[in-house]
Amino acid sequence: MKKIASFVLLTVAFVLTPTAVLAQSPQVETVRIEVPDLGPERAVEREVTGQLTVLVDGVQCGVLDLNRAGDVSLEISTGAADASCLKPGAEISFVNQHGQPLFERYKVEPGLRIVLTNLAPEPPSENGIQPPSAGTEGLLAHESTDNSFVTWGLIALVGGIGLMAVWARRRTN
Amino acid sequence: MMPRLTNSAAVLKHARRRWRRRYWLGVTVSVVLLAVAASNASGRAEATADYTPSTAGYTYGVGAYAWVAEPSGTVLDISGAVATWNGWIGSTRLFAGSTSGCGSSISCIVFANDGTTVTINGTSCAVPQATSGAWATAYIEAGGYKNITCGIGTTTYPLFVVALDDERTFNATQKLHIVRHEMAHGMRLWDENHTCWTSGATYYPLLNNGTFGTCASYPNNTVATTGEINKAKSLNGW
Repeated sequence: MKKIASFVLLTVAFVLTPTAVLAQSPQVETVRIEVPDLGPERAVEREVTGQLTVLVDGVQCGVLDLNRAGDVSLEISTGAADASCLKPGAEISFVNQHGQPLFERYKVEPGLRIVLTNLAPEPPSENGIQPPSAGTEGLLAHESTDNSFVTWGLIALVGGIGLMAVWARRRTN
Repeated sequence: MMPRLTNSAAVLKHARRRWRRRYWLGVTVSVVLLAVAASNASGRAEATADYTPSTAGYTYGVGAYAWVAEPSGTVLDISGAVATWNGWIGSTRLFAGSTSGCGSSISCIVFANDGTTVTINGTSCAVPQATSGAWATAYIEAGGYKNITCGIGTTTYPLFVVALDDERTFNATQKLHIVRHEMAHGMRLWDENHTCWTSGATYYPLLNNGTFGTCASYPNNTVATTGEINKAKSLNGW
């Protein structure tokens, strides 16, 4: 009986230990992101980047407006942001105004201060070049929405039949 | 000479037959008119056949001149692609074969198998893996604007490293597509969501990387459209 009791106690301790460790993991109160003025020779990078959306594990947690002159910063803090924005270990990523994700990524951790100077996007071909598929799917008629030829065709058809019918009727009479 | 019809039933029968003939003549004329209207519509479509790439690419391009090289092998026809692009843009801006001066006096587009190390202008550079699922991936280093670190490219003379997936075997057409398409990324063109389309002729955008719909002849999209060429010229000051 004692053996069973000690086994149960050990099992409970084994299950609870990681939870206790996790519970002790430090809280993140703020994450600060700064994009410094990169100087006139790199001003074009900020201009092309424009509005920079900050995502934490895919959740939007703020926007940096790089169209503004000088240093631009954003502070994500408890109370002001969604709790998931400060989740320890979550991935911080950025998306520029063209929808391109930036190459730089970070992990949320206590006291994190990001000085973002690399505004390069991830390389293209992100989704890969898929193998060719057989058939004709994907081959579009460029002006498939232009239905003028159908309209004109119907007008011509109805008009032609009408004219010939009138002509035939007159001849019959 | 037609016999004179005196019987009223015969006259009526003859008239009906004539009416039917004329009815079918009317239908034929209508079909002809329909064909004319259709050809008129397709003629207007050809006037707006091409497209202008609109997606933002890298902030930096090759600029005035560039070397295009494949230091570690001759898998791709670099010389052929360079001649083709120079022909499309109508001036000699690209040169084949060397990496001399890359980053210090000229921009470069370097092709290499992913996971290998290449020597570019005397400096070793580790080539990253091609993006998962991709045939090839075009990386950039332009000073602090970079998604590869070789210590060579600058904002004035950027370095583009194209990592080829060495686990794939490419046929001649695919190689032609890869080298011309990836070179276009060095010219600041990006992947475009234009699939192939017909408008009299059939158009195969070079910047369609295959994820935006496929078409019957894919991957035969090895020729840049006029809109793509003009965009490359304007983005690089050519």
